[in-house]
Amino acid sequence: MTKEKILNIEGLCAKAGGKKVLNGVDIQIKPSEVHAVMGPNGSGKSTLAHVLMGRPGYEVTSGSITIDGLDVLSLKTWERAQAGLFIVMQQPIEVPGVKIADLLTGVAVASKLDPQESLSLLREEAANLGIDESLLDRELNVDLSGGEKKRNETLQLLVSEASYAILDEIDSGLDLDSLALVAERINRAAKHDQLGVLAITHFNRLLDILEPDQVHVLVDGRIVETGPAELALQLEKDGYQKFSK
Amino acid sequence: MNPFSNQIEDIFPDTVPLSEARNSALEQLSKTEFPKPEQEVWKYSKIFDLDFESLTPSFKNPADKKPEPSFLDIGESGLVEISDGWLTEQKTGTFLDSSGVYVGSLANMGADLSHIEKHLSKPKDFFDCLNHSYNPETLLIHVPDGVTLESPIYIKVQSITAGLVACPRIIVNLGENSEAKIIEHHLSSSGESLSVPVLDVHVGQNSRLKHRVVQDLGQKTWQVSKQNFRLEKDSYVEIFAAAFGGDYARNEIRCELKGRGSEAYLSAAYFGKKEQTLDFRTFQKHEAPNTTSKLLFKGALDEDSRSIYSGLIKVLPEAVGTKAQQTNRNIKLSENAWAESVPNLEIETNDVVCNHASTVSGIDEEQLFYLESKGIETSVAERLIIAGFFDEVTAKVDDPLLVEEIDSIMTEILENRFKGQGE
Repeated sequence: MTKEKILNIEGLCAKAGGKKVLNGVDIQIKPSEVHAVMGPNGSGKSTLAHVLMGRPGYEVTSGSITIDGLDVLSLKTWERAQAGLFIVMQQPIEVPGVKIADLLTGVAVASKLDPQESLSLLREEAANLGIDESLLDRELNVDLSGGEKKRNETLQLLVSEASYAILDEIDSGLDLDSLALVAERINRAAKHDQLGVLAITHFNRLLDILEPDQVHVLVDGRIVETGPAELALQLEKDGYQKFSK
Repeated sequence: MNPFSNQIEDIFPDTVPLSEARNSALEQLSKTEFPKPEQEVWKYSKIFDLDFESLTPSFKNPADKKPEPSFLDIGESGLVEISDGWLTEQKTGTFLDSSGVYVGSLANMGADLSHIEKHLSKPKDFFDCLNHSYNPETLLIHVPDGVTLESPIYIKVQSITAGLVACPRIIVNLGENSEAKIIEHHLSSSGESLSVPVLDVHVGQNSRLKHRVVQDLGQKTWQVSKQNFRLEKDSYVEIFAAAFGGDYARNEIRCELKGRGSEAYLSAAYFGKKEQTLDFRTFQKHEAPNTTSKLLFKGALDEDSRSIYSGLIKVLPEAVGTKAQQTNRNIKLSENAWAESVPNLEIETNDVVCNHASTVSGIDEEQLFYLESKGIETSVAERLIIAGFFDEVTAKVDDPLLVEEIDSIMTEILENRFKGQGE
């Protein structure tokens, strides 16, 4: 029997810098589903993204994360990525002297893919996203604008073999045209390539295009409400006041 | 009996002026002591562990011995070979072309050395005296006014015979409005030996020089190297050193910006492993107005290796409008590795822009996380980060032979490193 395909976050509690940030988070994402996580600043949204990927400095105190039945918390970061998780960080980190082509070659070798094929796929997707070829020869995130970084990350997501994408404020730094391009392409990946998406955002304009199946409201490290896409509209109008104690 | 005695007449092919200089160096050597741990310039060094008494001078040209293989052995016409301090190739002076370029033995240059003499360094410490006393034949590279060398001059500097003190010496004299590129490869056999090379470079007015050296000495070789650069008005030099080998390898680079508007760019990449000590001492001396010097040295230290970077920027009162930079960055790749970084400024005038920075740190955890989050396993991610760290320095090396050699040494070091970790 094959395991059910699902990214399952259950009762997740986590600390960052010794402080409790997540206090029992439950989210289940199936292939092709788009989930949005919204919430006020400091509610734990980014921590959720970091904990999923195993970023140093974050400690899971209880709960579980599984991906298609596999225990994610016992895996190293790169093993999580190879298992199908991909994170687009809010602030992608600069790696001086390393080019996107180096990275991609490394990933291709690790996944036993042909680096040349990966590179041609990269070029193809770069064109789809309106990314200039010269960006591929630049050092990773060094001296890139916020928008360039996000498009770059999206590009990497699209050429990866990821089954679940965590988008941590992918809309920040992108102008409206780029945002539309990026969001439409991710939406297509969800619809046609079974990509499961967890989109952390403050803004509805991303969700207009991503068309989330569910919107979760995260306050003080807990999901306080889950609803359909319309919930996002309501949040944009009314804010998070009614959830605050 | 001390093998370093004064009885060396007729051993070396000197002309009269050279023989006089040698005798005066020998005299000075007899009064100069081996370094002592309490001397500031030898702080952090381990030269005191060298069994100097067990070594002997290089009295014989090892032309009959098997040379060390070098990446420069590809039949390039511009290759000069110095073995145990002797010139094995280019015995006689060679004029590269009709333009008067000279590459060959200083002794064969003729009696009149006065026009270059004033540019030569005077022996100061023990190792200078040693080199000036026991250097068998000096290589002179002379580029006359207005001449641009189209292809680089490659110099293979090798220590072949174990148990010797090799004293290679190279003099480079660029006239006015001239241009040259020089690439040195320092290498040695696996036996114990000491190499004491001295390089004296004079760059004439409005001339340009690129000098690169790759030090890939054997594991048991010790080296104390001196590189002296003197820059005239509006001249420009790029100085690059890559250091990978040796048991203890020290490189002292002295850069004197004597002429108004002269510019010097110094960079180095070094990678220490096992119990190696790599030791760099630099001196950027601004003696004239509107001079510029920028230094960037980057190193990685693995296993039980150590590195020392100690540098001084000195700006004399007359050197107004000086721009000077000094940056040293180190990555420690193991618990036991150790990097000492001591930048210094001594500024005797206003109206200057000087800064210095130094760091010693491990591999950046955030960078590692970022690469791993893309599915790259830890060892490969570390490798990418280390190579990326050096990229800032190595990307500027423009000679294809050199680029390939540095790349291949780096790749080998990194591959061995991770092979060891996987076990």
